Amino acid sequence: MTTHSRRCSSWIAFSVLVLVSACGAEQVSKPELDVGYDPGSRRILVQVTRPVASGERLHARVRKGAVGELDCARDAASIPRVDGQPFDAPGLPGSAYAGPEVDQSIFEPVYDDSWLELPEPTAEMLAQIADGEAFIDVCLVSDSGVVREGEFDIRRALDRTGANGKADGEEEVIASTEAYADKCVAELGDIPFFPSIGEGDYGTFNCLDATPLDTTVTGADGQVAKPGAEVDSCDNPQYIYSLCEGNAVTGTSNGPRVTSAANSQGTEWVLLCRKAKAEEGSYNDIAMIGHNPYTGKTCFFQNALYSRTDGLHVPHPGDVTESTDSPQQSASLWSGIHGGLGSGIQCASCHDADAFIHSPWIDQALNAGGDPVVPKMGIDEDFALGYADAPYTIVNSEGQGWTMPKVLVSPEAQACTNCHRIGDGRWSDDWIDRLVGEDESWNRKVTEAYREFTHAFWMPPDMDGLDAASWADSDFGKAVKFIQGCGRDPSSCQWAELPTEPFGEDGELPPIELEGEPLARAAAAVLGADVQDPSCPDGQCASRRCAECHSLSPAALRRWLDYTDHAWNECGLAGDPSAMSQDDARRSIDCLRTDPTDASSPFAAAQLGILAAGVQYGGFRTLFRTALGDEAWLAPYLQFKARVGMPKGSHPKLSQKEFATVQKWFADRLPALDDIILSPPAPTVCDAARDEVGIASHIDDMSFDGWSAVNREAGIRMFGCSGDDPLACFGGADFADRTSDWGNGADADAGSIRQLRELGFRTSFWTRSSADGRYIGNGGGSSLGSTITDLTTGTNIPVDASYDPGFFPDNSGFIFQGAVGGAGICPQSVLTRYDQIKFTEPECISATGINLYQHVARGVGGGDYFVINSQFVSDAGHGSADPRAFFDSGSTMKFTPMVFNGTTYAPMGPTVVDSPYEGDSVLSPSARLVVSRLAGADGQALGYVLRRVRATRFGQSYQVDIDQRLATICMPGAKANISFDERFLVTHHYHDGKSDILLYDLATGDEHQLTDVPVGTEARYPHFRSDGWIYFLVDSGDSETMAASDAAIRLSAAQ
Amino acid sequence: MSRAAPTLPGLALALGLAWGAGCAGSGDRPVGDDDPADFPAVPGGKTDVFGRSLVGVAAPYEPDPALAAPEAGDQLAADVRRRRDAAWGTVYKILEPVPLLGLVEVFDDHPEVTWPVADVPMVPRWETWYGVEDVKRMFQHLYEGLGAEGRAAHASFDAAAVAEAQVWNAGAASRSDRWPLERYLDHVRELGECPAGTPAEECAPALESLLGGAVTGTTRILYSPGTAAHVLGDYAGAVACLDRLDQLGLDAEPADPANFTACFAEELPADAVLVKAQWVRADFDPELPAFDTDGDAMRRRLTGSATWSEEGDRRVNPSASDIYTIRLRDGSVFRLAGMHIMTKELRHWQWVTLWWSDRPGDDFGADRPERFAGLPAVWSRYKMCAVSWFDEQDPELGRRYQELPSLADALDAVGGQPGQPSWCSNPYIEHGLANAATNCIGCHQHGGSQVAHDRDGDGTLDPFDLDAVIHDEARYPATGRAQIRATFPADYMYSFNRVDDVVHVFAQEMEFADGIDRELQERVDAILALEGDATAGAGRFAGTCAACHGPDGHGSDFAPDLRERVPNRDDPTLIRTLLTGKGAMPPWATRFDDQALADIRAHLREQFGAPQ
Repeated sequence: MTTHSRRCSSWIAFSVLVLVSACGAEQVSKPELDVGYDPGSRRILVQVTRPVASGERLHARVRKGAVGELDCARDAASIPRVDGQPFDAPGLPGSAYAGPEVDQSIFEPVYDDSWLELPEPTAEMLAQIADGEAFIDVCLVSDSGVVREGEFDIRRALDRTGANGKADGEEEVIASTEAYADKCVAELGDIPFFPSIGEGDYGTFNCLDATPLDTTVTGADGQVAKPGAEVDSCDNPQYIYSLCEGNAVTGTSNGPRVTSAANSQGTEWVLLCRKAKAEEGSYNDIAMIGHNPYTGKTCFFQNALYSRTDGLHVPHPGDVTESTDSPQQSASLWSGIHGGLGSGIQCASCHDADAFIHSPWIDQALNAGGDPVVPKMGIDEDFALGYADAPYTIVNSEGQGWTMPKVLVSPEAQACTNCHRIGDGRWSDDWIDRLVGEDESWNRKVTEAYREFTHAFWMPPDMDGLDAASWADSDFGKAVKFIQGCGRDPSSCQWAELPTEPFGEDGELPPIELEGEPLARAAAAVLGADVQDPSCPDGQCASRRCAECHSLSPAALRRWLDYTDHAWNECGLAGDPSAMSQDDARRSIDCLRTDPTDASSPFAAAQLGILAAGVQYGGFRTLFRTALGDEAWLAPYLQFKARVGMPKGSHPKLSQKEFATVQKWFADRLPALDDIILSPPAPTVCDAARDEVGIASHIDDMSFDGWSAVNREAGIRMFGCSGDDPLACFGGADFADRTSDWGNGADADAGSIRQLRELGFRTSFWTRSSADGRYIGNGGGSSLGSTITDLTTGTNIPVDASYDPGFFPDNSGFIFQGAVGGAGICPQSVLTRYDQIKFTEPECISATGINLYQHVARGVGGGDYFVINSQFVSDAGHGSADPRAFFDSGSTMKFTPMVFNGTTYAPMGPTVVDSPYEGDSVLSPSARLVVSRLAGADGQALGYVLRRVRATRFGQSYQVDIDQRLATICMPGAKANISFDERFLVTHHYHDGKSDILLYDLATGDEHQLTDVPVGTEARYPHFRSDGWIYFLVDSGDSETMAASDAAIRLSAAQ
Repeated sequence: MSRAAPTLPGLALALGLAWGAGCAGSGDRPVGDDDPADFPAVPGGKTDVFGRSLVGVAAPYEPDPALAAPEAGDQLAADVRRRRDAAWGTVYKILEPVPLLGLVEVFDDHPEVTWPVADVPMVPRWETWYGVEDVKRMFQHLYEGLGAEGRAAHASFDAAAVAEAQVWNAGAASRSDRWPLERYLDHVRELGECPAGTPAEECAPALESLLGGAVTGTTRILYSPGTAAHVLGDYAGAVACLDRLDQLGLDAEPADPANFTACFAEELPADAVLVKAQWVRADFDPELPAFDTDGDAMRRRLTGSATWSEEGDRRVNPSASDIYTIRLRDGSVFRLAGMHIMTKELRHWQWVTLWWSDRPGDDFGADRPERFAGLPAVWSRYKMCAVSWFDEQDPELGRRYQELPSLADALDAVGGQPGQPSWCSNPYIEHGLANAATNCIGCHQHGGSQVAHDRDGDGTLDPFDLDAVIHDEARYPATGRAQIRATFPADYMYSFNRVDDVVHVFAQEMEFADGIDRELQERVDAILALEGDATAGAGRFAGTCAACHGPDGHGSDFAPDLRERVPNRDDPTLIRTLLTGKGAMPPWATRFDDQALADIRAHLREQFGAPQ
C-alpha cells in the first residue's frame, strides 16, 4: 500500500510535468498523457486522464530518433490511430488504451560495459546507436487541432509495469532516467547545477563553466607541453579509457572538465565532461554522481555515449518539460540507467570502494580554495581519512539488479586500508598494477618522466623515506603486493560488505588496542607534536597538523584535557546521545556555545576540548538529531561542524581511527605525556630589554613611510572627523563622552573616551576596524556568522564567515575566517555595493592555508600583502585572567604573501620561521614589525617580544628573517595591536573581574592604563585606526558597545 | 652635465617646487631583490605625490583635426583601412616619449643632484596622465578653494581653476610632511643609480625602465588632461546625475540632440582620452600567455564560447626588450600586456586596443606604420584593432589589404557583412565567455549606467551587470554589440561609476566637506548666540593670541595687524577664522569651548572695533 501511494503521487507529478506543450482550443478539460506497458500483450499503454472525447483521436507510435522531433500538428496523420475501448490499468489513474505492440528487445539498453572499456567504440557499436534510442510519440487531436501531445522515453513505459511497480525483488524497478532522477532527488536532494525554472523544468549546465583538467607531457628535456589534441602518451592519463585527451583551452581546443557542488542536505554532486569532440562544448562522455556522505546514498548518471553529446546544454536528468527557456529535456542527453536492466555497465565496478575515485588526473582540477574539485578524503571534512565505516549504497540498487562490491579487510592490506577502503572491483583486479608500474600497456601511455618512482607511485600521498629501492620492503609495498594477489585470487583474502547505513549513530569508534606510552606516541604523532624520538631529531618528522596553531606542550595538552572533561562531564558528551531526551540534548548542545545561557551565541571549539577534532563522527550527529529532530538537525549540525571542527586550514581532518586513538589517550588521562613530548625549558622570567637605537630608527622611518603618514597623504577621510586634526574627531553630540564612565582618571595620559555605537548584538572572537574607522568587523551578529557595521550609515552588513575579521592597513580590503573555501578576502568597496557579503562576489577571493587568528599587513607603496599565523590561545572574552600563553618550543610564525599579479591578489607559498615560546603574533601595519606574546613555563604569560621583520623575494615567494629583537616588554595582556605610525602597542588585560585597555609607548617605554571600567565590564580587542584613535569593545554583560580613545594621539602631540 | 632640453608646451607650466625646510634624515635604503633590509615598502608610482612630482603636469593630447570633420566618423566606419590608419596615428601619439617635467625642474633647481646619463628620462605620453588619486587630489583642492558659499552652491570650476589645480597637484609632494627636501632629493638620487652591474652603455635604457616604473606606477585607468578637466569641471552635474541613473532606462532619449549624455552639460571634448592598462606581474611568474590572432585562430576562437582563455595558445617569457616592462620602487616588475585607448576625436569615440604578441608582424600587426621604428622597440610588439561604430559598415574588409594577406584573412575572420556587428577585443583584457566576440563600443554604451532595468522580471531594478550584457541575447543582441541606447549617461565612460567610481569619489568628498561646513556653521551660530565677556576674552588673548599678534594686537612679521583686520571682518567670519585658523594661524576649535571663543570675540570687538 505504501508503494502504491508513492507510485500514485509519482504518476500525478509526471502527468503535470510532461505535457505543457498542449495546443488546441478545446474548452473542456485538457487531459494529461502518459505511457505504460503491458508485458502480457506486449503492448504500449497510452494513459489519458479522462476518456477520449467524441471528436478526438488518439495516435501513438514507437519511434527511433531523438527527443524534440514530434510535431503532432504535422505528424498525427501519419501516426497509427489507437482505437479500442479504454480500460482501467492497475495502479494508474484515468483510462488506458492499448497502443502499439513492441518487442521486449526495444527496452534493452544499447550500451554495455565495452563502451567504457575501449578508447574508441567500434564501427559496429556506433552503428548500433546511429538510429538513436526509442521514444513513444502520443498525439491527442481533434478537428480543431492538437489537444495534447507527448514524447516519452521508451523506458518510461516500463516504470508503469505491473500491479505494484515492483519487480520480483523487494525494491521497485525504475527503468527511465527521469524516474530515477526523481528518486535520486528525493533521496539526495536537489542537483545544484540545474536551476529550477518550473515544474519539471530546469536550466541547463554548460560544461565550459567547469574546471579544465590538464593533460601535460613532460619531455626528455624537462619541458612541459600542454597538447591541444589527444596524444599517445602523457604524464597522467585518464584511468577509465587509458586516454590522453587534449587540454581544455576555451576558444582553442576542447578538453575534459569537471565541476562539483554541494546541496543543503550535504550531498556532493560531481559532473564530469570528458572524451571531448572537435566541436567546442561537445563531449562523448558526460557523467554525473551524487553522493551524500552522511547517508551514503549515491546516484550515477551517464549520457547516451557518442550519441547525445551537447555539453553546452547539459539538462537535469529529471527534466521532462520542453519550455522556451530550456528546451532541453532529460532525454536530450541522458540515457538509460547504466548498469540497470542488464546492460552490464556496473558503475560500482570502478567506483568499488567509494563514490568518488581519485587519480592524479582528476585531482588536477582545483577549486577556488585550492582543493580538488572532486571531494577528497583528508581534505573535505565530510570525507575523513580512515573512515572505513562510511556508508556507501546506490539508490535503487536492488531494483536495478546491481551488485555492490565488497571491501578488503585482510590485515595484510592495512598500510593502505588504514586510510581508505579497497574494493573487489576494478582497482584490486586491474588498476592496482598501474600504481606500481607493472601494467605495461599503461606504462606505454605514460611519459618516461612520469614513470619515475616519484610520479608513478602516487599513493600513499606522503612518501617520505620511500624510494624505488625501499618500496618493496616497505609496509606499503608489501600491502600492494598482497592486494594484487587478492585481485587475482579473491578467495585468498578477507572481504566484507560495504556499510550501507551510517556508522556510529551512537558515537562508537573503532577499538584501539594501544595502551600507555605506545598509545601516547601514536596520539602525539596524530596531533603533530614534537615527540622524543631518536630517529627524528628535533621533532622535524612531526606533521604540525595541530602544532602550527596550537602549542602541544604538556601544559597545553593538560589544558585541553580540562576542556575535554568539561565537554564530557558538564555538557554530557560522555554519555550516549541516543539515550538523551530532547531537552537534555538541547542543553548539551547549548553547553558547547560561547555563552551556554544564550542559545543564539556561537559555538566555541574550546568548549569541546579534543572532541573538536572528531565532530564529523557519529556522536554529534546523533546529538543534533536528538535535539532538533530528523527534519531540522542537519543544517545546524553543518554550521556547528564548520565552526568548531578541527584542524582548520590546510591540514587534513583526523581519520576515524586517528580520532579514536587521540580520544583514548585523553580518556586514559594522557599517560606518558611527560615522557614523550619534547619540551626544552621555557623562559622563567621576563627580562625587559629595549634596542633604543633600533626602535627610534624604526619610529623615525615610519613617520615618513608608515601607513599613518601614507594614508594621511592619500587624503583618506577619517570617520567622525571634520578636519585634519584627529583630536577634533568625534566632537559632535553623536559621540557621547564616556571618559568619566570608562576612562582612567588616575593616569594623566589616559586621554578621553568617546562612544561610537552600541552594537545591539553579541559579538564573537574579536573586533577589528577599517583604517578609516568607518567599518567595524565582528564575529557573530548575523545568521551568516559575522557582521561588519558601517558607522556612517548605521547598518549592520551580514558576512558569511565564522570569525576573526581583519582589515588591510591601506583601507582597501578585509579578511574573515570560516568563509566558503577558507579565508575570505574582499576589497572594501564591496561594502557599499552589496547588502551582505558571501565571499562569492566576483570581487572576492578565498584562500586556503591561512589559518585562524591571522593578522594582515601590507608593505607601503604598493607592496605585497602579508598574512601571519602562529600558535595562539583563544580569547573569547569573559576571562578571569589573561589568556594563558601555551606556546611551546616548536612554535612558528607562518608568513603568507598575497601578491598582486596585475589583476588580483594571489596567495604565494608561505614561509615558516621558528619562534619558540612566542605566539599570538601580530604584524605591524607595514609588516616590518611583529609582536608576540612570550610564554613561560606551564603557559605562564611573561610579556611581549617585538621583532623586526625582514623579507626578501626568493623564487616564487619570500624569505623572512625575524632575528632582530627590538624589545622584550614585560606587560600583562592578551593579543596586541600596533599603531599605524608603529609607535604604540595596545592590548587588553583581564584583572579583578574586569578587563582594561593598556597602551605601551615604544618611544618612551611607558605603559598607560587607558580605561578603568567597572567590575563586571570588559574593555576588549583594542586596535588602532590610521590616525591613531584606538577602537575597542566595551562589554558590560548586557550590551556591547564600540568606543574610541585618543590617548595615543595625545601622547604623540605632547612630544 | 648637459641634458637634452625639453621643449614641450607643458614645460611652460613647470613647477615652482617650494620645498619646506629639510629635516629628519632619510630613513630609506636602497631596494633590490637581494636587499634584506626592507619589506617591500617604498612608494610605487604616481598614485603617490612623489611620483606625480617627477612626472609633473600631464602631457596634453593633440586631437587629429582631420577627425573633427562631421563626416569623419562615417568614413572610418565605412573603410577599415582608414580606420586602422587613424588608430595607428592615435596609438603613435599616446606612445610618444615625453620628458619627466618635474624631474627637469629638480635638475634645474638642484644642480647638486647628479645623474649618470645625459638625457632626461622620457616616458610614454599616456604614462603622464592622471589616475583617480590625482583626480581626487585635484578635486579636494578645487572644492576647498570654492569656500563655504561656493561649496553650498556647488559652483563649477572654470578652465583656469582646473589648470591651476593640475599645477597644484604636481606640487603636492612639497606640501606633504612625508617629503622634506633632503629626503625627496635622496629619493631622486636613488632613482638615478644605474642597477648594479649594468655596463655604462646600457645604463640609459635600464635607468629609463626603472625610473619609468618607479615614477609612473601601474595605475589602471588613466585620464588625459582633457578628460580630467571636463570631469572635474562638471563635477556637480555628474554627482547630481547619480540619483537619476535609476530612472534612465535603455530606451531613454537624449534631452538635447547636441548632447547625448545624461550627466554632463556637454559631451567630452576632442582632446579627451581614456586609457585602460593591463599590467601583468612578472617577478613571481615569468611566463605570459601568448595568443594567436591569425584568421584561422580567430575563426576557431569565435565559434562556441568565443572566449580568450587564460592559458593562451602558449606561454612565453619575453625580455624587457620585447615587452614594455617597468620595475616599481618596491622592486616588483610588471609587463604591459595590453591597453584600451578611447579618444573623443569622434563623437561616439574612437575605440582602439593594443595587445602584446610574440608574433607582432603578423595579422593585426602587419600594417603597423614604419614610423613606429622611431619609438622604443617594444612598441612594435603590440597588435591593434579598432572600431568606430557598432555595426561593421565596410563591405571590403580584407580586400583592402591584399598586399598584407595575414591581416586581410584576420579581418575577414572577425568581420561580418555590412550591418552586422563590428569586432575589436583584447585577449589580455576581455575575460569571460563570449567576450572574445565583443567590440568595445557595445559594452561601453552602458558606461556610467547604474541600473539598466528590471532584467530578471522580478519587479525590482537590477544592478548593472556586464555579463548580462554579453549573455542576454534577447535584451542585448549580438553579444551586447548592437546599439540599443541613444542616451549614454557618462559619454561611454565606465570609470564614471565603475572601476574607479570617479563620481562617487566626488560625491564622498562633497559629503565630507559639506558636513564640515554644516558643523562649522552650527558652531559659529552657537558662539554668536552667547554673551561674550570681554574681560575674560582679554585674558585669553594675552595668553594665546598675543604670542603672534602682539600684546596690543599690532601684528608681527607673520601675523596681521588686528587694528586693520578685525574691523574688516563680520562676526561670522571672525568666529570662523578663530575656529579653523588661517595661514600660519592654528585652529582653536578644539582648544577653546564656545564661551571662551565668544569671550575672545567680545574682546576683539571692544579692542579693535565693530565691523565696518
